[in-house]
Amino acid sequence: MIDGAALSLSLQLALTSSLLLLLMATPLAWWLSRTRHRLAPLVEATVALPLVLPPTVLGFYLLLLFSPQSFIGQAWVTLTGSQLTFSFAGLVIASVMYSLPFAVQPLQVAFNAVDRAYLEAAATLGASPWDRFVSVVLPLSKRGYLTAGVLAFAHTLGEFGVVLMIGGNIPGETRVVSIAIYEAVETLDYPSAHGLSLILLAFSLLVLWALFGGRRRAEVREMMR
Amino acid sequence: MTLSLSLRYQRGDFVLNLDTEWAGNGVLGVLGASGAGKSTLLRAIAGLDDDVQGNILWRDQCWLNTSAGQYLPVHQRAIGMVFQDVRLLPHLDVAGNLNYAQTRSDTTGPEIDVDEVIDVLALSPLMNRAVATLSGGERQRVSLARALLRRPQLLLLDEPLSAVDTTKRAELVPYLRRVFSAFSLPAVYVSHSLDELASLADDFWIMRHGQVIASGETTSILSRLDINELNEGAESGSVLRVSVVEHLEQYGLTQVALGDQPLWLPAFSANLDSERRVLVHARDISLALERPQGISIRNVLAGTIVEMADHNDGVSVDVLVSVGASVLRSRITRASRDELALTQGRPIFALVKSVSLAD
Repeated sequence: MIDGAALSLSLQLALTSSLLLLLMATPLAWWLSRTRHRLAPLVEATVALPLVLPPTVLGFYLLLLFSPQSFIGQAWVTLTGSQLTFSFAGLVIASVMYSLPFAVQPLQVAFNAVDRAYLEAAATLGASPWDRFVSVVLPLSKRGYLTAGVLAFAHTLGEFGVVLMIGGNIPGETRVVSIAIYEAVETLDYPSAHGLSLILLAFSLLVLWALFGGRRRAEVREMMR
Repeated sequence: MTLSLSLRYQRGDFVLNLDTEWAGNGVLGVLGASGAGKSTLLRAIAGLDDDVQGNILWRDQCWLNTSAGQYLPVHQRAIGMVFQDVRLLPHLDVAGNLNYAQTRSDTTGPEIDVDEVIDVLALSPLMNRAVATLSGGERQRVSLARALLRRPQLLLLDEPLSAVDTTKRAELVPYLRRVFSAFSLPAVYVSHSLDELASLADDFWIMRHGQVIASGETTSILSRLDINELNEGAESGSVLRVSVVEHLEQYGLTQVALGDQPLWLPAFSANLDSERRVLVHARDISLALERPQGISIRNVLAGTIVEMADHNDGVSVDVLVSVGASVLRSRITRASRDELALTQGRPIFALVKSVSLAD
């Protein structure tokens, strides 16, 4: 029996998180790609932390941060009337932090590759800084956005440790596919585990295949020029 | 003065340091060796380097006044810039690049007709081409069109023909002349090619080590012997103002007059009595003490030696010959000078082997 609710919750979580990630990562990656600030390496290291930390460590700190005893958790309760821990909103925030490097790094690479010369040319043609970003940087960073979006989406989809720590296993609220698979295995419900695992496997392969295929086509196009 | 500059800028060993003005009509040619600061000067006028100190005044606008903390951002300055490395936006095609400039054009700037720009620069066959498929010359033309469509008050051109080979360059210089005259836009034209500037510029600034070491109107500055930048190389020469006298169709020649003396050029189309500028290279002028007889060179001008200066190469000497109100530069060997016993004030005949139209 396939857990459809878990599947749809995972998709919702991945979609929401990756959209938020692209929005947040854009200014951060732009700043990192242009700045000579002495604190920039520290910011970069902080963003990259989820790459090396066990998800449980991140999950543990987030659990403390989200709990109604903490300032942030309490503020959230006052604002929304509900708790951050063991809620979908909490999962989204955690996913955003957890997948941040997967969105920031491709964008930073893409922004670094945008030649200043084009921005200068656009400025002499009357484009304001914001206009230059929208009309030159964004179109020249299309592939970076594609990579960032897909990686953030796929990474959020496969998240387990952080969800387990702060989300638990509430059907329709925090019970995502990875948790559902874990529980199915724990309860020896192998057919369910097989079904969900196969869907996740096939989906991830398809997405990455499309990404790499698109990237290769773009490279070939570039070489043909 | 329309453009007044007072600039200080340092990067590493290089120091830009100039206080100078320009009337802001026609084309200002900025000549100098590489590293003299020509590009830095243009970038400063455009506002592309934000650590330039000093003042920039264009017409009644202050573009820079660092002591008063004023800096007008690049996109608000009424400039159109053509970069040495072209810089067409790679994600747009030719039409897209032109449209980029058009949609952001300064509506208070001079009226510039898109169709006319496309026509003058012969761009219509290129409109749907990807930028990466264009040749060097085509890119330069698109980049010039883009700068024009921004409707600037001042064009800044940084070696706009550098990416073009010599034959294509000869093709593009007339394009540039047509552009400058068709749209009557003041332009600052940076180059290390004296020929290019002699053909295009009305006024000259000579730059060396980040400073403007000499400035003046083209015909007069070209007859100065004390400026190395004008003496070195095979391009030294003079620009002369002539008037069109007659078209000799059976010989394919056009007769012009320099003062009251005739000169013949390969035929070109121009109204009779119209004023034109011609370029004569110093190495194409020989000197004779008497008017030569039985010689195939038709262009012989009678004049007087006004000044002589030995060349750095130790072999040649540049001789200035005044012909009516004009001054010609001739490059001969020191040996010839001594044999002919040339001295200042001596009447002399200048044999002109080659003349070309400069506008």
